[in-house]
Amino acid sequence: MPEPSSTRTGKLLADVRKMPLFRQLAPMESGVGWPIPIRHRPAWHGGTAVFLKLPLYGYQRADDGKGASLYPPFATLTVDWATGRPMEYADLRYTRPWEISGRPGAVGTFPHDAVRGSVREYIAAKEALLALYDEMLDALQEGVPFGAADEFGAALSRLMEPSLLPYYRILGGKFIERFLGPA
Amino acid sequence: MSEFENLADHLHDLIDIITGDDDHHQDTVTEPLPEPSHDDDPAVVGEPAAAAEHWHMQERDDTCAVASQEFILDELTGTDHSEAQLTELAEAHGWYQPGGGTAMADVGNILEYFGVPVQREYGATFQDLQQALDGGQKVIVGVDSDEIWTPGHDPDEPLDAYPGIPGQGADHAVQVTGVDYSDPAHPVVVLNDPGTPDGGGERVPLEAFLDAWEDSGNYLVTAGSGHA
Repeated sequence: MPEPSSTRTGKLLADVRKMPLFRQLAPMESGVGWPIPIRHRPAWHGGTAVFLKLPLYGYQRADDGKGASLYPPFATLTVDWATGRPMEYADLRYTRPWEISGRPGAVGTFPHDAVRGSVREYIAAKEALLALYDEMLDALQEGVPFGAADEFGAALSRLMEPSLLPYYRILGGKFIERFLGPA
Repeated sequence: MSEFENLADHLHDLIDIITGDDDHHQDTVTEPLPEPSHDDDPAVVGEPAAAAEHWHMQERDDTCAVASQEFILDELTGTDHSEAQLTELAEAHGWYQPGGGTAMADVGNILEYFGVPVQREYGATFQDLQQALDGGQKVIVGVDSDEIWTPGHDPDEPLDAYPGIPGQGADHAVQVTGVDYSDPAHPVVVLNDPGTPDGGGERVPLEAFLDAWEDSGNYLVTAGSGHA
């Protein structure tokens, strides 16, 4: 059992796997990707609501037992940041944000150069990014400036899998452009 | 008490019962484990040797659940089905998504399609699993593959050498074919693991198995009606 995250975002990422919706629809082999924040202001209740769109992508251990092959996202799961409840499951074969036909092939491998190091270092870097997500999401919820934008951008840029970045740009264009720059 | 401490307590209780050491904590486990029973080896629950004859490595990166069902289907029916045929069937019914895999709730659907009775349970106990094996049923579970393939992985090892992506959770289906108590202090769970070479009869220490299984919410699929 991996060490549980101390961040709200990390706990939410772990908890989505326990949702009946996830177990019913999402392949268990799914990787849960980096959250794409969405804000509704005003939301249905007149206040601010923040959501996380989570890309789900395929990944499989590499044949030599080291690292993993990465496949394009096949679905997104959007959850309410305040409650963790699922708001939408979108099968990308239906929503068709890009052309999908036949069996997708691997588009890259994990790990990429920017995260090479020890497993411990990767987990620490991921935990640090998730803590910055907490700060950003709270700032979005409260409508106040996010003071660690540069730090967040640098951390996301390092951890984002380059082979999946083109798909993130389509799924969360404004967010990715804001923190990682234009394509 | 943390989840890890709970798990550790549970494991110690389990091993105490297996080894007959009941001087503490036994009150937390109410159901006794079934006596290990097997026609050939009294220390082995289940029939891992017979099941291993039906193992092969999964043909695609994301067909572990299809392959695990195929092992069982072939053993129960005595007919050899091809993974490609079953993958096509599963995809046609929405039980398999190319480039993704199979949702937990859909594991067992192929077996049901061929008339094999299936039960699914979240939050199952190891006693549940072992009783199913002891009763002659076939078993598939969801696991975190990293913890099966590299139990006790040293976090200071290079990320390059890690099998998968750290921290992603349960991502793999395997058939559990037996539990080996030949060394009562160190029980071993025997798998038909389609995701690794030589996965037929793969042996995993009980503690590592329990860790890996917990990540799926202890999801247990049992198939077949057991001994007549």
